Order: sequence, then structure tokens, then C-alpha cells
Amino acid sequence: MDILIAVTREMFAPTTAAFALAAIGLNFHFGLTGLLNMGHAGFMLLGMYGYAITVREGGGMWLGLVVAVLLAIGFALLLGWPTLKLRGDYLAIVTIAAAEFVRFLGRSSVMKNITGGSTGIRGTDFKEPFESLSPFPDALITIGPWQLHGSASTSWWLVLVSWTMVAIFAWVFWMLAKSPWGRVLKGIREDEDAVRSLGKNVYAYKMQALVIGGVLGALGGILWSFGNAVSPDSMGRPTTFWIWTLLLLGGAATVFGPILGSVIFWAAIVLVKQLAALLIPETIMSTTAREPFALILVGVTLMLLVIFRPQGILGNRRELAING
Amino acid sequence: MADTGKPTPTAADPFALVPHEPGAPKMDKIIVADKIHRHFGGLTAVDVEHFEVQRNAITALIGPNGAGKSTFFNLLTGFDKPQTGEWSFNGFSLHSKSPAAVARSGMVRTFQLTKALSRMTVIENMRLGASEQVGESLSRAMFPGLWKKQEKEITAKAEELLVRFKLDKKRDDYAGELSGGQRKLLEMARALMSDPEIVMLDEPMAGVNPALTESLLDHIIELKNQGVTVLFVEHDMHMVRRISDWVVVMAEGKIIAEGPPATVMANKAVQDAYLGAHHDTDLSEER
Amino acid sequence: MTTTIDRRVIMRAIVVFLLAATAITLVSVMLSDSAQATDVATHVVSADTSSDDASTGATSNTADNILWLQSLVNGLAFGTLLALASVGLSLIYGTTGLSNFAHGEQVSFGAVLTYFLVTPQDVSIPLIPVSFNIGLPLLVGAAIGIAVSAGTGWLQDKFLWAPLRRRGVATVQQMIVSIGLSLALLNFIQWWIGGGRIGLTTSSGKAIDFGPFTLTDTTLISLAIALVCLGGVSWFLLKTRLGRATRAVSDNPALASASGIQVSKIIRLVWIISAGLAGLGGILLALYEGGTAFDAGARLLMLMFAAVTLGGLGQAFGALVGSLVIGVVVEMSTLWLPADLKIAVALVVLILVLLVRPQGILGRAERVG
Repeated sequence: MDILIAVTREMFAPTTAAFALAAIGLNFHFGLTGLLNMGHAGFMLLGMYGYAITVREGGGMWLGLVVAVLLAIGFALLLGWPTLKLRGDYLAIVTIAAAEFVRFLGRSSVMKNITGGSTGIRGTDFKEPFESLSPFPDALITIGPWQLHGSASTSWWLVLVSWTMVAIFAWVFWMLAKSPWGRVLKGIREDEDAVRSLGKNVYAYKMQALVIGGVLGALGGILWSFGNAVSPDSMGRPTTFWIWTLLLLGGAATVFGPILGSVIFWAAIVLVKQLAALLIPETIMSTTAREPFALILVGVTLMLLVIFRPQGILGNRRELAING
Repeated sequence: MADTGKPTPTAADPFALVPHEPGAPKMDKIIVADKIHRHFGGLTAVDVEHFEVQRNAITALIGPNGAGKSTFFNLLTGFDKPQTGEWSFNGFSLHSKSPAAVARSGMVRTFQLTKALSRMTVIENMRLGASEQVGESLSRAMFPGLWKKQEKEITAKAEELLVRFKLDKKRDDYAGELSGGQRKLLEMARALMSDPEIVMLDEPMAGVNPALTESLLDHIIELKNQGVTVLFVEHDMHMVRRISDWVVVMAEGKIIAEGPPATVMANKAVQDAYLGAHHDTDLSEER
Repeated sequence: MTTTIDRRVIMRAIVVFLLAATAITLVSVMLSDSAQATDVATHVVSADTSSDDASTGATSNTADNILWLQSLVNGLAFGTLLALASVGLSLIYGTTGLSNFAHGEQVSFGAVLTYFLVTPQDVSIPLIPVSFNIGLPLLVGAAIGIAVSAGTGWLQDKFLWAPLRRRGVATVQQMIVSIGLSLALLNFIQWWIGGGRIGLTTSSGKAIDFGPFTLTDTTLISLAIALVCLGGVSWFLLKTRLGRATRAVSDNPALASASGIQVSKIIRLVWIISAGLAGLGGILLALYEGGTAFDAGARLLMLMFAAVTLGGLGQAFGALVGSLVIGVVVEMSTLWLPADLKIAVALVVLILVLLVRPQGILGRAERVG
């Protein structure tokens, strides 16, 4: 029973929403345009740095948001500039490199005064303006079987805001994907030379997709930091790979794929860990081994998905069954 | 008309006064290229001194394998950049123009290996071909009211073309589900969505089932009747003889002969070029 | 395919190198204020160059060492070891078109397996609640480690990659599969040996003084082994029939297949060689750096990609040159920058190179259409 409550709570947790939002961003990159952004965690980290540092220095919440968005735009432009004219795997390598660069720079001792080095930025330094907007009481609230705080950290307030944002951007994705603009992106995904030969400025379209997706990644990062803290080492390569896994799980290029994928992904991780704790004795699998064990399963899931069901849960079998 | 061998006898022959020699000047030129040179490493792929294309005619670009035809095509359409050279379309210089800018100026190409967008439906492929779409700008894409009307017009035009190319029954199929020949047709139809002045066909017959060849040929002749200029690269000499008004022969990167089909095929230099390099003909079909 | 590393290539390498140096100087100027402000930063520089215990005062001659020369030598040494890993990555890319993200784990695996075999401490295998002690001599353990690594290359290609290629799975999809594999392997290794740092030997090697710079004997032996192996690979690629076939596959698989080369066998061989080299690289790097960890290879992956991209994707000799450049850049950067920015510097170099010469030092531009 406890497992069930833990699993269902994970399904609507703000972290899940944050990852869903970041995955919608990646869906603009990969699902629509076919861009291999392997550094999405870098966008998330940059977003939370931008927000948290601005707020900590007294800039306020809205300025923080603006800074985060501008950082993401700048980062996307910088990454896209050298790579979007090259073959796809160059973007993959450069994005992963750049995301790691952001993380290394952020956690470096040189930047300690600004980014807090490897320990990052504590929640108390930047969460206050957001939490003070909460209409909910400053206490634990129980709804059904779930108990969360009203306003602080992983709260009902954060649940409300983050899922609202997910809903808004899922709608934006839907509107854009079915517009002629989205059609050009899908064409680029299929064959950019063909789209070029039809007179479209492929480079500009790819850049737009990269920027939009990156901004969504940054917003996802901010939401994530509200439930946790700013910590560079939580935004390493594995985080990017999780987003890929959950996007492919739900179904790339679909509206609800990122959302469903995130919900299932996080629920499954909690389920695996709890079941392992329950069923496998300590002598065979120690407590510290449960996390790697769950992540091995994530890796294997990613492989199996790509091989056997690349369209994910919601994708169109017919659409993705065609090979080139 | 296909059986006359010489299409469109209506107008006076625009090639009547054109000398049968490489780089011959044309009456009404749509493309003019000068001193186009492209080499890869130490290997010269294209070295064209002078080249002109007559407006509203079907010009074939032929030559043995490795003659540089496709590279020349890529250079003209902006998909590759020459080391030196200057070329223009309707008097408008295309030097260092992007492929997209070339296409927007009215010169649309197809590819040797068909580039139908597999995971999009046939009608979406067609719609993508239309130029100057309001809804293709990010700022307006979010507001369907701004582009719904234009989308309807585009769709109507696309459906008309699909009927003409006998693809209307495939309207909602994915392009990846079409046969090779149908993909060629789709690619050609899609190129026409932007009302180009010239279409450049890169081996339109490669990989097409013989049953479809006739209809493809008719479509190309039909293009000319509608006032479109056609320049195509082809291996199949039979087809070249059937539909082209003028033939340009390339070998080892240079233009070695020009003239009407019959004259060119009788040319000694052309025969030598073909025989000399014929042993590897079938290898390069798939790169 | 380039048969010899000609003068032009070296020129390009130098250009890239100068460019990188300029970039680093720029960055360091930008950061110099904060670097001086925090004493910690400068401290880290000397502390983290764990490889050269010598330079931190093991011998009395260290004062004679010229700092930049020492860094240059360290960089060349590190680059050579890095090359072992990246040549394989490049060969796989060349023959199959796959950017193999699991190559880092291949490197860790060699080192971790060797540790597992040679450590005098008790070890265990996940899910088996028995711990035991193997404690083989280092040489034997390393030999087994390399052999098993090469075996995993065979295993992977036989049961994973070859079936995927037969099914016509696109290289992008294959790349994502390799990411999944990397994630699974990384966590498996962590589960296996834990998150801490482990050492293959207890001694850190004897320092040998060369006047202006110092190296340990372990490093020298590692370098010798690495050079012999790289020489062997070069000889294989240039002089043997199989090697020439490999390069032909790399150049144009369709044509190679048409001319009677059994492409799938060549690819199998490439996987075995690459995995073996990666294992060896992992072991030697663990010796060079005085230890390894479950994520050692994962950290290295970015440097490998930088090296491979720098040299031109798929060009085996490019990877070699690229690795040396990256090694030197990384080590030289510690002269100006705190050591925890080492890898960041390599990544900046990678991005700069893509701006200037996207096809890499040895790569060629591609034809469209």
C-alpha cells in the first residue's frame, strides 16, 4: 500500500512535471526537427543558475525568469551557430560537450562565489519569492492518501504551477506542430536537402527549434530546482539520457508523449527501488545498489525501446515503421 | 506527340541558328555559366568554360560516369560551391547563393536518389513545396486564422497537381509507402508547387519501373508546354533522344559537345567518351 | 584515406593548436581575477596533477623542472594513452557510422576488471553474496582484462550491433542504443565496485629525472606499451591486407562490399580491436593517474569525442593526432587555469575546431546530392 502511494505521488510530483516540460523542449528538437540535442541537462542547469543567481542577488522572480530564458536563448544560438550546418552527429557531440562544459564551469572552484561550486545553491537562497506567491497555507496538507506541504519546496503550490506550465506548453507544441511551420520542421527531420531544394531556409528553422526547445529546458530546470536545489552534479549526462528515455518511451513527435513518458518513467523508478527493497534481501542487494540497479533498467529500457518500439507508447506505428 | 520524336514543332526552332559546339550561345538564355571550376583534393570534377541554357526548352546533360554532371548540377543549384566561376539565372547572379535562395529565385531541382519525405503524407509533401507561406513564420504559426485561408488555396493547388500526376489516390499515404517511380513523380509534382521557371531533374529515370517511364516522359514534355524550362541529367540515351531539344555532353568535367540529339550522338568525340568509360557504367547508380 | 601524415596535416594541427592556446589565454585572462582571489584555485592546480607525484617534490631535482615543459610532456603522455581509447572510437565510427557513446564504459571496464583481478582486497560480483579474493599479479590480471575487453567487443557486435545493422536500424537510432548501453554499463560498474576511487597498484612509481622534466617509471612503461600498440595498429591498417580492407570499408562500405570484402567480418574485427584497445587504454590510464573509478571512462568520453572530431570523424590517424592535441591542451591549460577546468578547456577547443574546420584535421568535406 505504501508503495502504491509512493508511486502515485511520484506520478504527479513536480519533478515529474519538470522533466515533462524539459522533454517537451526536447520534443521540439528531436521529435519535430530531428536535432540530436544530447545536452538538454545543460539547458536545465543554465536555467536554474540564471534564475537562482538573479533571485539571490535580489533581482526578483520575474527578472530571474527573464535572465534564465535569455541564457537559454544565448546558449542555443551559440551551440547552433557552428553545428546546425553540419551533419547531425556533430550537434550531438557539441551539445553534450557544451552541457558538460556548463556543468564543469559551474562546479569549478573559480566560480564558487557565483555558482556555489560543486555544492551549488541552497534552496533558501532563491525559493522564497516563488513560495511567497502561494495561495495555500504554510503547512502540511493531506489530499486523499497524499501528504505534501502547502507552499514550501515540493509543495501542492509547486505541483499546481508546474503542471499548469506543462499543460500550456503541450498546447503550444500542438499548435505549432500542426502549423505550416511545424511542417517545415518535420520536412527537415526527414531530409533537410529536400527542404532546402524547396526554398526554405533550413538553418533558420533549425535554430528556431533549438532555441524554443532550449528555453523549455531552462524552464523545466527552474521548476526542478524549486523542488530540490541548484546542484550541478544532478544535471550531468545521465539526466539528459533520462529525458531521452522518457521522451522515446512516451512517443517522440506526439503531444502527450513527453508527459506520459515522464509519468511512467518516474513512477517506474520508484516502483523498482521500492520493490527491490521489499523483495531482494540486503545481503544480495545493498541499499546503495538499488539506485544503480534502477538505472541499469533505465539503460536497458532505452535500448529495447529504440530497437523494438521506436515510436514509443503513443507514436504512430505506421509513421515510424517506414525506414527511409 | 511522343511518337513524333521532335516535340513542339509549333514555334520556330530556337536552336536553328545555334552552332553545334561546346559553350554555344543561345537565343534566349535562362542560365549562363562561366569558368566554373570545382576540384576535390587533386581531382578535377568540373571545369566548364562557358555554358548557356535556352529558355522554354528541354536540355539534356549527358556524359559517362564520373563526368561531373551531378557535381555541375549541385554547383548550379547551390548545393556545392565551386572554387572559381560565375553563373547567373535570368541575369541574376547565383554566386554564393544558398540552395534555398536559388530555389526561391525560381530554379527548383530534384535529386538522383529521390528525396520524398518518407514519414510525411503525400499531401503534406506537396504543401511543403509551396513558397511564401504565411504560416511558415514562427511568429504567425501560432495563429491559424492568419494562414488557414492560404493553406486551403495551397491544398487545392496540390490536389490539382496530384490528379495530373495520377497520385490523387495516394493523397493520405505516407510518401515512404510509394513505389520508386511514384516517389519520382511526387518529387516532380512537389517541385512544381512553387511555380518554378526552370526545373532541374537529376536522373529522373533512375530506378523507375519501365511501366512508369512513358508517363514520366510525358510529364516532362508537358512541363515545357506550360512554359517551364527543363534541364535534366540522364544516363538513358533512349530517353534523351525522345524528349530533348538540345543535348550537352560532359566528359571528365568539361563540356565536349553540344547539339540536337541526333547530331550529338553521331559525334565521334562523344562516342569515344562513352566507349572509353563504359565498363563501369552500373557501379555508380548507388553511391 | 590518408596513408601518411603529410606536412599539410601537421600544419593544420599547429594552426588548431595555436588557436586553442589563444582561446585558453583569453579565457584565463577573463577568469584571472577570480582565480587569484581564491587561493583554493591555485592550490588545486598543484594538488590535482596527481600523475606527476614527482613534481610535488618526490625528488630534490624538481626545482629544475621547467613548468611548461613538464606540462607539455605530461600532455603528450596523456594524449598517447588517450589515443588508445579514441582510435577505437574512430575506427568504429569509420566502419559503421556509429558514434558509440558506450566507448567510455569500455575503457572503465578494462581498468575495473583488472582491479577486480589483481586487488589484494576482497571483491564480489553483483547479486552473488559471496566475497572472495583473487589477487593475481598485475601483468596477468591486465592481460586477462584486455582479452576479456576484446571479447566484449566481439560479444557486442555479434549479439547487438550486427543484428541492428542487419535490420537496417538507422545510425541515429543505433547511437541512442549505445547511450542506453552506456547508462546500463556505467551503473552496473558502479554497482560492481562502488563509487569510490580504486588503485591498481599500491606504489605510485619511481620518479625519473630528465633534467627539465620528470616522469615516473610506471608512466614510461605505460607509454612504451601504448606506443607499441599504436604502432601495431598503424602497421595493421597500412601494411596488412585486412588493414587495407578495413580502410576500404571506412572509405566506402558499398564499394568495399562490391569488390569482395566481407564487410561484416571487418566490422567484427574492428569491434574486437577497438574494445581491446579501450581496455588497454583504461588500464594504462589507471596506472598513469594512480587510480580509476567507475566513471573514469565516462569522464574521458568527452575528451575522446573531442579528439576524434578534431582529427576528423572516422579517420583513425586523425584520432591519433587529435588525442595528442587534446592531451597537450588539457595539460597545458593547468598552467593558467584551475585543474578542475581541464576538461572544460578541451570542450571549448572542440567547439572552436568545429567552427574553423568542421571536418577535422584529417577529414574531407562531403558531397551532397
